[in-house]
Amino acid sequence: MVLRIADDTDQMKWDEIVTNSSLGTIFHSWKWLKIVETHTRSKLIPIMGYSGSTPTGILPLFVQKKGFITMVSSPPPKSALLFLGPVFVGWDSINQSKRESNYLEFQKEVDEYIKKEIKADYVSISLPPKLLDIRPYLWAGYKADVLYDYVTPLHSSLDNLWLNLMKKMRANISKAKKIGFSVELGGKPELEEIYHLMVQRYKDQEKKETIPKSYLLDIFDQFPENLKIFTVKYQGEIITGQIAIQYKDCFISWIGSPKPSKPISPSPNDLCEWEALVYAHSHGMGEFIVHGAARNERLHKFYVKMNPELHTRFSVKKMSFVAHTLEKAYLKIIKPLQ
Amino acid sequence: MALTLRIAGEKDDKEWDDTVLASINGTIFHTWSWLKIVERHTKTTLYPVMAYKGNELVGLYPFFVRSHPFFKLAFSPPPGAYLLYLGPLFPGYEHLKQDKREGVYFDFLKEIDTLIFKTLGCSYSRINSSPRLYDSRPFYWQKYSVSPYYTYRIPLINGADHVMGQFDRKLRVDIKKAIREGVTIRIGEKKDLGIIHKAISRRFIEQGYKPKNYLPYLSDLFDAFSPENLKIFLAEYKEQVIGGMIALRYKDVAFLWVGVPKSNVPGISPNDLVQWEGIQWACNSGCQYYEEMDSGEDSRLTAYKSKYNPDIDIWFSATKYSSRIFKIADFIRKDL
Repeated sequence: MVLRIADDTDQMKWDEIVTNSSLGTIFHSWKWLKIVETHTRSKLIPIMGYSGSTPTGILPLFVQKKGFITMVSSPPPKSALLFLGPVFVGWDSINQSKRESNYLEFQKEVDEYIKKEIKADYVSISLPPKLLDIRPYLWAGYKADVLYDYVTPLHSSLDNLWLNLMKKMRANISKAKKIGFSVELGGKPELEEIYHLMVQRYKDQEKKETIPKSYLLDIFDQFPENLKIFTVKYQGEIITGQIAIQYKDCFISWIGSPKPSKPISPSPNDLCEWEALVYAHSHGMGEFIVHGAARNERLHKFYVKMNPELHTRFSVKKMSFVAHTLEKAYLKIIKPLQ
Repeated sequence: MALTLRIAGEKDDKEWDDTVLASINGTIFHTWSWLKIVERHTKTTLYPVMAYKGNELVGLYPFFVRSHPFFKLAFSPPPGAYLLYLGPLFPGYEHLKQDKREGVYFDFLKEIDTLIFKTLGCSYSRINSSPRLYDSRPFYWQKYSVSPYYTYRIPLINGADHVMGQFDRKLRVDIKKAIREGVTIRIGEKKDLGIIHKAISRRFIEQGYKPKNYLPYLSDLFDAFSPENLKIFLAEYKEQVIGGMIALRYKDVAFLWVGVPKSNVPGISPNDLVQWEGIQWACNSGCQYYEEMDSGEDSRLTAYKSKYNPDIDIWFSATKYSSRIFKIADFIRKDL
């Protein structure tokens, strides 16, 4: 196994691996990674693993310097991404022993690279949803965290999906329609409006929005076919909305759904979530996914109303003693003050 | 509606076992007889907790408490019982809507946490949940540390020949070679437990551990579960036992439970043939999976087991200390 750092001339090969592997997500695509690099003040190191002249796997790493600490992450902070990590060629079509030996070898080489070439103090990798094996990382001394996503399979009829919703959600949706909430697909101006509502919502909670607007606009420009903007209007005004992503056979409810600043009942987000699901169903998507919220003790109650399946995902971390101490201090002292 | 907890008694054995059967992640290790045998041989007290919502039984949770002069420890399963996992069960879990699942599971875990730490005054709790229960969130939210572990399950749905066809080529060659060289497989009897126990003890000593006398435990399990659910496979070569295993069968899963370390016969892999016999037995018994029980911690062992082209399956271990002092004391103890 030999590692090579990809450059712009490898874009086609890279994207082909992302498209063909069951582990590949839209966030792994070359253009998305380059946009992330621009907006997160990090350096992208797109690693490709080769066995002879055949590529076996890729891993996009992002390097950032914070004071005297060198951080390696995949994905980087403030990218609105919950996972990235490695993607392997032919993951579903090879035998378990081959899968394990490829993975283990790749992971070992990458770890060596991170240690010797990048000299990282802190490494954090969140694995893509279908990569459930983290043993190579555990054997290399990484610590694991178990994460969860809510996934609603869309193979049954819309009537069935409707009946599967919790009674309260069905009632909310019916009431929302009755009093005149309407869901519409939008474009760039609507994306900007949703962003504005998100910033406002964060302000109400005395928090700061960390995702730059320019990042979302760049993503919108580069992925017009994949980004779907849903807005909820009431009396001619956008009161909430969400940015969703359509890729392969998955429909991801990505970001947005801020609680309206003026109290309004029922919650317009139930209707928005349902209409996004209806859209995904009518466009032949296989799954409607809400990443991350399931692990949040408060948020999961909102998203469980769709009666989804619970899917497991993992992230792993390894850090030096100094980085560990600084992280602990950040989480216990600085973050609560922010 | 709040849950009511009840500690099951001997009279509840049938209802308990029916619930284990009706729970997607119920294993042979959860059955009443197995739990009582474990209690007898591990110097612990079994707490077989049944949870009710009104009159409906909605969950089981067997755990064991080991009492020391100054502290108590809760385990599910306890150490020294040759068990990887146990943990909670929920009858009909897979048929419930997700919000109902979460409601029962989260409430039950909260109640159990109160029982272990407040009512019983334990200083430490370790719960290893069984495969097919993939939700570890209630442990996180009750401030447990959670770690994933990995076992292997070979799907048997397409029959033994198909399973053999999916093995690594070298494994198929090794199985054929073992047969050609004259290795035979014999179904063991109770008296053969002594051979198995000796071989395991020898391996423990080689690895620098003091072996525990598992023989009375294995004998009790043999009496309770053989021949229906427990089978001994022994590989013989020139009238010597050179490998083997104790296999289990429960519901749709057969388990490679205790493996007998192979003797050093150059060029022969007796345990590959043992596994193949076990897989055929599982197929003929109508099992859907053959589990090569594992934790995923030892890369050498996983490399051996992955040759059979199994799927990975995840189980979780969750640990919690009642206070920082016990956590520090435990780290010091482990270090020593």
